[in-house]
Amino acid sequence: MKKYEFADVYADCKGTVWSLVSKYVFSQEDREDLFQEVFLKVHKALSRFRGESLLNTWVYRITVNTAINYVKRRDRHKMVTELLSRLRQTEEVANEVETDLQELKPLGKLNQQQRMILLLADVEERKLEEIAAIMNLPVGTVKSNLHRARQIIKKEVSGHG
Amino acid sequence: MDEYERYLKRLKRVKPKFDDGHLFTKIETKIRRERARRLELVLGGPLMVFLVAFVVYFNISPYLTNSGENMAQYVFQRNSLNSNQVMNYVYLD
Repeated sequence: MKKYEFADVYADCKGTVWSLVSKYVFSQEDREDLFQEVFLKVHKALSRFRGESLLNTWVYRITVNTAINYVKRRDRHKMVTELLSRLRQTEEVANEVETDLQELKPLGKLNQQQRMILLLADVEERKLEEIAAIMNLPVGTVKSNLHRARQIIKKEVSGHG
Repeated sequence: MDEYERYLKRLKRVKPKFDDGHLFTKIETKIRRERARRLELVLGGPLMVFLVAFVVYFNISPYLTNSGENMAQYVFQRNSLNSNQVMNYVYLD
């Protein structure tokens, strides 16, 4: 069994990981936090990697799961903050997603799963079967989520959102 | 090309900057910190158990041992209650 050095894995996969996480979350701080979290998990699990799948696919799977959990955690925190601010009635709650990149704004209308599937399918150009394997979902679920995500984005970008 | 295709093209071109060297250093620092924390747990756990066991043993042991001093104290206390009453009881019986 081949032994992988963390520095080599980082050098091989940093580009693909950044490409995905940088569009999945909306601020530079979140991007860098999430990127680090992914590689910390990769480091932790590297000794258990048995080479049953390609290293890139394995890292991709960790990236996808970490990203979804990261956003879920963030959303929960945001929900509590919003609830508290409503109770205190101190500030208006913004419904729009805050981002430093205008191109990412429509993605804020999707839930975590739809956003990930759309990015993997239409931006990273991965096959549906591959996405299903990475996300541990049935192909049918991936298809229906992708269809719904495309509809939402089409509506957003055509100005009917 | 429809609006959605144009949007995807724009989205694909989005490449936020990142300093991979700086991020790698940050990751390495976190790994080192995590290792030190784990080492503390590995070494600190048994040490703490030993210390607790040590303290408990030396605090409880006087009650567990039937030392001569304890016995003498008991006898002395019984005799000092009221020896006359006890003797009266013995004589009556």
